Amino acid sequence: MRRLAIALSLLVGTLLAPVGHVANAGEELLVISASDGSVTRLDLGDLKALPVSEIRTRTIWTTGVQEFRGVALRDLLDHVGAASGMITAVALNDYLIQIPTSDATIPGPIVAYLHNGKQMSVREKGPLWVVYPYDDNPVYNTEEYYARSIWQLIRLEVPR
Amino acid sequence: MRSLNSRLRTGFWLTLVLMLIAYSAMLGREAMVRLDSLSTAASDDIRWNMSQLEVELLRLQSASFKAQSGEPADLAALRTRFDIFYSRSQIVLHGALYGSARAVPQVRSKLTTLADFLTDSLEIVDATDPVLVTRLPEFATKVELLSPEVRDMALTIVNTSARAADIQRVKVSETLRRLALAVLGLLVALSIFALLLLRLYRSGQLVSAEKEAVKSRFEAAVRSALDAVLVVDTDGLIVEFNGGAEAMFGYSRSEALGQPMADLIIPPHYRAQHEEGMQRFRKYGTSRVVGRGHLRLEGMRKSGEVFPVELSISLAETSDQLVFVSFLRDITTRLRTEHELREARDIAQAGAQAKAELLTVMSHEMRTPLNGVLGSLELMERDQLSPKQLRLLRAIRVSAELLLSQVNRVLELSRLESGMIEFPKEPFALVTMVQRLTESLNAAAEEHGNRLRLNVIGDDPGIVLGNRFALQQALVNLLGNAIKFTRNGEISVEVERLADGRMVEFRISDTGLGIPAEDIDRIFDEFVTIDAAYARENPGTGLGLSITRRLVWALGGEIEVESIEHEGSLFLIRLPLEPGEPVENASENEKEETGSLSGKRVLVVEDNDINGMLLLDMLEEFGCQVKLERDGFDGVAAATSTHYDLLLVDISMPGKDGLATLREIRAQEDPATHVPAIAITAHVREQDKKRFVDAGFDGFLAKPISMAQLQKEMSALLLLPEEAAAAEPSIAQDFIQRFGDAEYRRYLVEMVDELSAISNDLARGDLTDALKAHVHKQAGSAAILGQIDLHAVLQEIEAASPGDWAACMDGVLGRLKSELAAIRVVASGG
Repeated sequence: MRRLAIALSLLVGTLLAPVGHVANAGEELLVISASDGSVTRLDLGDLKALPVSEIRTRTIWTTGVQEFRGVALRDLLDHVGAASGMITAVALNDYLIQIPTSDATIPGPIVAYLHNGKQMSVREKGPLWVVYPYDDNPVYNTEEYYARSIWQLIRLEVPR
Repeated sequence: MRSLNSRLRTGFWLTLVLMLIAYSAMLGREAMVRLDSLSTAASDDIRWNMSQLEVELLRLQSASFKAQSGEPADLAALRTRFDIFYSRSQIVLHGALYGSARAVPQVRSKLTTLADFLTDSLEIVDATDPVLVTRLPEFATKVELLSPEVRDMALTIVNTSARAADIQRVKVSETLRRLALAVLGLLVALSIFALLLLRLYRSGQLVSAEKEAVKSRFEAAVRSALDAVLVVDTDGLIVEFNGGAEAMFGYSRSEALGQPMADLIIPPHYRAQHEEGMQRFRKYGTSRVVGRGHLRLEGMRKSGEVFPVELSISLAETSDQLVFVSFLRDITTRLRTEHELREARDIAQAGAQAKAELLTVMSHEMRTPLNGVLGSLELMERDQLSPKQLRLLRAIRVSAELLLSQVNRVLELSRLESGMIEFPKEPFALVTMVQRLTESLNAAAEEHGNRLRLNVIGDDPGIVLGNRFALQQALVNLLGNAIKFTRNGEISVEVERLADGRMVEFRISDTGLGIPAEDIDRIFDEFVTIDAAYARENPGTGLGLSITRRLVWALGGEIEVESIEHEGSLFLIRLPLEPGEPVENASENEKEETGSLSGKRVLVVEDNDINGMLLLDMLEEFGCQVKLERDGFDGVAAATSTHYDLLLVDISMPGKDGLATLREIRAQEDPATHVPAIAITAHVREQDKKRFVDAGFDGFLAKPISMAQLQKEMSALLLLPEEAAAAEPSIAQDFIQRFGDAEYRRYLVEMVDELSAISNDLARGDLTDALKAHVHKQAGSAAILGQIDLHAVLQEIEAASPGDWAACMDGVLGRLKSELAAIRVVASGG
């Protein structure tokens, strides 16, 4: 019985292995700190409660057309009442990039939490990934926007 | 040709420019794509990713050392570091960014190593904490072993991508270079095209300037034209209205422009027709008035006055619009003038006609009584008269003869004027004729102490083709004048054939009075006599020269005169007289002369006894064999049974008249043996002559007939020369000479007796045809016997209609009775 359990766990582990750990409901995914000091903490439920946006596009980091679903950056900023200016986005690996709030248009970039219908593990650049609709607008096919396409996003600092 | 050339050239350059534009656009697009790929190739991103891959690996390595402590937090950090490295590796393994890098074999082997590491490591990292802790050293070793491989791979990929970027850049610069060249070419082509366009534009400007000039000239011409000029479009609206039109129609230009022409200037009764014409034009493009030259129509002024216009309409195209251009002229005045002229001409013609007829009739009516006068004078001369009476009588006779010759001349002139006399051409010896003429005039010349000479200049013209009688008469007139106006002088006739071989010139010169310079221009006019020194001795009608000129003109020649007063005159005649072939025996005939008529067989058809006897007597004197028939029936019978050389037929005969008689004779005769025929008539007007010719007559003689006339006419018909003698002895004289005074009286008494009987019949009021025939017969006798007044009364009876006779009978018969009484006194008294 025990051996069976070990075998099963191994099997499950093998199956789950490449996927890695995905966020649990209620697990804090994103911290938005405003310049006035206020902080908003959002879990997957909070994010899903916001208006949903979807982008179908190819990216230079993947192969083939991908489907991303999440919150439009604009909606997110509006949600926290951000002013216009520069946003600082921070990733799990300490990658840091500045995104002007003027980028937040509709249609425009989204903070994706589903990739091809699934939650993303850290190994899959999850749990949150800022994605631009590269195929819809050639302007986004530049180094500048590639750099703003931050994955493994954990924190946003916004002006207010 | 030039325009085709330039068009071809323009087309060529246009095509070239279009091709260059297309090529440049293509290159531009290619350059865009290439530049785009340069900017999106994300070669920087490749490098960034590579360095990050190495960084993440190093951080993983460091985390693995730190985790050897066994602290759970460190283990969690290790796992996160692994996940981050893992996610980064996925980009290299699967991302589109590294598609081309993955094709490099060197890279591929490293990637396999990387993938193996990840697969191997998963088992360790995802194991429970204790397992992980135990296997950490093994993991650290794997990481350490991977480190140089990743380093190696990163370098290879970075180098490869740099080369690819270089190639990309070279391609871009090549495209840009080609683009630059194409644009340069385009610029050149565009410049040439622009130059070409400039030239076209300039020549276009020249053409349009020329057109403008032509247009303004045309407009100036229209505006300044004296005629009215109207330009109307196809809707009938006036588009141009010049000053002439303003003056003609009374509308100002501004009033007329844009208005329908029909309402303004076409009289109402023409409008429907006009509208029909316009519709026809709009529908079929045809017109009855356009381009048909000058038309006469009517126009209407502003005042409503309708007036005649002459117009011409043409179709023109101005600035893409069809218009009718009409030129109009007010012809009111012209028509009126034309009408007046026509009337004046008609009046003049009628006047001239009347004058000619008056002259003819009067002359004819004068001739008969004159003959009577002359005949009576001759009779009186035979009586025992005192020397004084005889002298007076001769004076009367000279005057009467002069009067007769003048009457004859007037008749001749009016005949010439009517242009109905023909001058048939015949061959004759010119010099012989002129010589004979001068010889015959020698006596008259010598009477005035003149010498008359004939000179033939150059070669003798010989036989010529022309009308000898007309020429002879012209020469006689001129020579007669010369003799009349010259005393003890010299008169010469020169004959010369001119160099052209066709014309002959006659020069008649004298050393006489000459003609004053102021008169020389009118001497050929009718009834002109120059008041000269000898005028008293040389009375004239003033018709001689004008007859001469008409004769010369009728012969196709010309006549000129030069004269110096008191020194002499020169008359010059040039006539076309072509050389002719001599007629056989012509010279013999010339010599034969008088007596040539003897032996000719002549048939006379005459119902009047006196006339018949007279003709018979005259013909017998010519030596002719004569047969006399009293009416047309016997005449036809005689003419068809026996051959005659000549027929003399009276026109007015009871039963069968002369015309019918001859027609019947002509119908039965063999055309080869055509017998010449002469009509004898009291009527000598031109219209009668035609009737005679139509009936088959060759000539005619007017009653009373003189011997000379008879001989002349017969000679002409029997192709014999005239026997001379221009003077015409009177008929009564002939009669008395032939039959004596006693016979003359006897005939008078006989006529008076017969007329008395007729007069009694006439008094019954019934003017029957039989009675008229009797009157006609006696009228002929009265004419021959010189009883002119009687003749006139008898003619009046003849002309009267039976219906009117009762009304005028008393007056006429009264005059007849007094005439008869007077004659009876003459006949018995002596």
